[in-house]
Amino acid sequence: MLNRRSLLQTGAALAVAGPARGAELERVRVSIIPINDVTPLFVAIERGFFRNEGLLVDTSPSAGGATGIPGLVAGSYDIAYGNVVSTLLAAQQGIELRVIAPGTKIQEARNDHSAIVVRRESGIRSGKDLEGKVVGVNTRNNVIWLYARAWIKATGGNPDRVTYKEIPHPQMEDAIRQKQVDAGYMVVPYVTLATAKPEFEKIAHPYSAVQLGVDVGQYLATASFVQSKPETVAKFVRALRRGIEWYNANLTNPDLLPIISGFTKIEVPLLKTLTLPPAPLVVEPAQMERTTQLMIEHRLLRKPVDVKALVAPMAL
Amino acid sequence: MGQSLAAPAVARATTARSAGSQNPAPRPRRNWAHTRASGFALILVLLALWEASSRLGWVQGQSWPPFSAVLVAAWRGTLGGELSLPLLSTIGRMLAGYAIGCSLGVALGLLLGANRWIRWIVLPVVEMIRPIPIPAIVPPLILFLGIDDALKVFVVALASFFPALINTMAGVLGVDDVLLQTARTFRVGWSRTVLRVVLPATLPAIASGLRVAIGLALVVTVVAEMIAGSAGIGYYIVQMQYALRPDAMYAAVLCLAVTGYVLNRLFLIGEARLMPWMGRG
Amino acid sequence: MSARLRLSNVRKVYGEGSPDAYLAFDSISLDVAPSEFVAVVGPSGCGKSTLLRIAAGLAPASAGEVELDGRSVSGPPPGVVYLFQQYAKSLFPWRTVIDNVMFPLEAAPRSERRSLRERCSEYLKQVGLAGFENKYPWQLSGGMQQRVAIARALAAEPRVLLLDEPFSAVDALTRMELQSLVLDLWRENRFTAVLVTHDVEEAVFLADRVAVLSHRPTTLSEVIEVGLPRPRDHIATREDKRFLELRHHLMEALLGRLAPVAA
Repeated sequence: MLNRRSLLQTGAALAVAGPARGAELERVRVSIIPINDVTPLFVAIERGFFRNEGLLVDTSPSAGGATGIPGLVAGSYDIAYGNVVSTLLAAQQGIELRVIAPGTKIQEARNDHSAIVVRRESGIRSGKDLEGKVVGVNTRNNVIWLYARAWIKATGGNPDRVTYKEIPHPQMEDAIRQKQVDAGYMVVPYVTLATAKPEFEKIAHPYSAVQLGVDVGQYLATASFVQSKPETVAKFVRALRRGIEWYNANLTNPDLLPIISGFTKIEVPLLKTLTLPPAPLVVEPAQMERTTQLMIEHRLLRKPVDVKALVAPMAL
Repeated sequence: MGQSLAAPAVARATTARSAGSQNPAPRPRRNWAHTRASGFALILVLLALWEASSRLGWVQGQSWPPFSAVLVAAWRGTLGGELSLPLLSTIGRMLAGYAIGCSLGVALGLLLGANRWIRWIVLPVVEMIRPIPIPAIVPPLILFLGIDDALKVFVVALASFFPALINTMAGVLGVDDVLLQTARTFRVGWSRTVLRVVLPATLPAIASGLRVAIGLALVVTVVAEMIAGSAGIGYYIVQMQYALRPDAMYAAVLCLAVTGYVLNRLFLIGEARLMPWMGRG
Repeated sequence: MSARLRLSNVRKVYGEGSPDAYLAFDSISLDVAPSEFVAVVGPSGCGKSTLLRIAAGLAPASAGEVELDGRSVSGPPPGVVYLFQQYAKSLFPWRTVIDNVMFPLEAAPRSERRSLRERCSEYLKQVGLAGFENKYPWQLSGGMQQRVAIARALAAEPRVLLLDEPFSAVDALTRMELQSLVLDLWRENRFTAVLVTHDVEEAVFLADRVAVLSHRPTTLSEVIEVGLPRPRDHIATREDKRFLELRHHLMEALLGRLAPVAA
């Protein structure tokens, strides 16, 4: 592992030897969530892609992701990784945000690892079965909750007859086992660990089942930052895309694991059990429109959001 | 032979005498040691139960490691810096906020205690702000203070401010009238009375306010770091929770418990050193 | 001889201006000569402590006047020291014994501190506390604490010492010791003493004159010349026929069995 890391560092050092060396690096503060979704960003950091653009990216993890957008507004961050529902909610509230780069997208059903998990003996199979039951979600009125509801509706249930209980991702497995909830919408790596045990069973992958191609998360900046520092944003997006390309080309490369472990603190042996999904190179406004429709349907939004204005051209 | 027999008899006699004559002094100390020992015994029993519940599978869950694993994680984290560095940064932020909050609290407390008019104007505002839970104000505060140290130092200062203020004010109001009259009969002026009588007489109350505040400051720092953190032990706890390393998470909690205990002990020792008269009014 | 301390028609109403205001005492006039020892006795709740506080300038009178050496008193005047009944509360717990005694002298310039400290040690010796300079009040017994308070009063070199039931909280033997101590100090230092007490034996034993306050509404009912020889002794004086007569008379007055008569 040490060898891999030092190899990576050598790679980074070689990359630094490029044009930007010696020049003053511009510091960019990025709020991230320490989950696999932001691995391409760390690839770009470790491999020196940002340095080559003259940027010094400084990441600030926010475990729940709750402080990303407020931090952007307050000026603590220049760029934040956020989920699509938070972004659309903020846009509706009049916060001038811009989507500047792609983050996470469910492109193929086989790459949709997040799932609704139940106890095998529970007999729950569909949204209809969940009526009158309790579903665990990490946060109510957010992306996981929205797609859980959409799936319940799509499989014959009335989402208003289901109780949603907030359970942090790491505690979901125990909550299902101890019957605090009848089902839980789980994400990687927790879902992988839980469903490796015989007592649990995945019954659905709501993202791909409801909206294949959904853009789950993106990188954001305030409109004023995009306007006042277009160069910086362009450099950031360019370097990030190189990171995404490298990541997609090396999904099974063991060199990735220490990078992921570095910011998630998840130990490498556990990471080895995960299958990494590819990352998107562009944002699809049409997918965001569909999310907007779902949000209206489930009363998260009162009226549609102008997605075209929200997505900056460099994200396309 | 005779000497060897006599020796224990003498020893017995001295023991009996000391038990008889010195009874009042050593008794409380023995009781103190006694409760301390049984307190530790209870902790040990609980920890043994923890260990067993995890090892024997009484409690099933991927977030319930045996206590021994927590100890190992604590040991590694402390030596390796993974745990000790965030802890130090947390203590740093805590002390900054604590110092600011307590200074302002004591100053305003003295003012409120000394002047009825200021008390009438300011106290209702204080009573309105005081019960607001810190976790509730962190998200809106981010908009004004950002997400960094300023935010945490502010909320810790706010949390420390109130106990310092309330206790100081109560201390000033509680200064015995006889002490003030004593100063008057000796014709001591207003400013010297405040400095030489009111302030020292209020010190024990201030100290107890500061002690309440220090416990609160640690908790609030950690909570703020958990909500809006990218550094410190509070963030570390959340991070380890999400990284599926409950042993490291509980190790951090354990470190916090020890830190809280040590801070309180240090405070009590300092109190006894600086104010030997405390509690003997 | 002109009075050192003069009370003229002093009146006190508690809670003045409020609906439940009530009259504590009225029309109290009393002259105390320089170096005289006067005791004021009265039943509980008659306001004798308040009267003493008014004399000390620690509390305002509702009407009437207090004069010290012919000057009207409107705040604690120089040379008058009030000795509190609650000695434990009147000593500063954060100060050592010697620092407590130093308290009245701290406004003095720094250069004089050293000699003042020595003087305070001298006062401590006078009250029998030599060697206790560096103890804290809570390390002393009740009687010793009151001795510290007395030494501190002496340090202010009072012309008038006002004693508010100063021995009521100590045991009987300690009380007698303190009474003798106060008499010795009074004789040596020639200050004027006004003692408030509900203990008629104490009043007779210590004072030149005893002023008697009546039940509420309180007025000054009589002033009795004690006339017992000095120095006074706890055994001999207390067996004196005059002592017993005065005791008898005062007890009757306080218990309300007798109309006041001139002694």
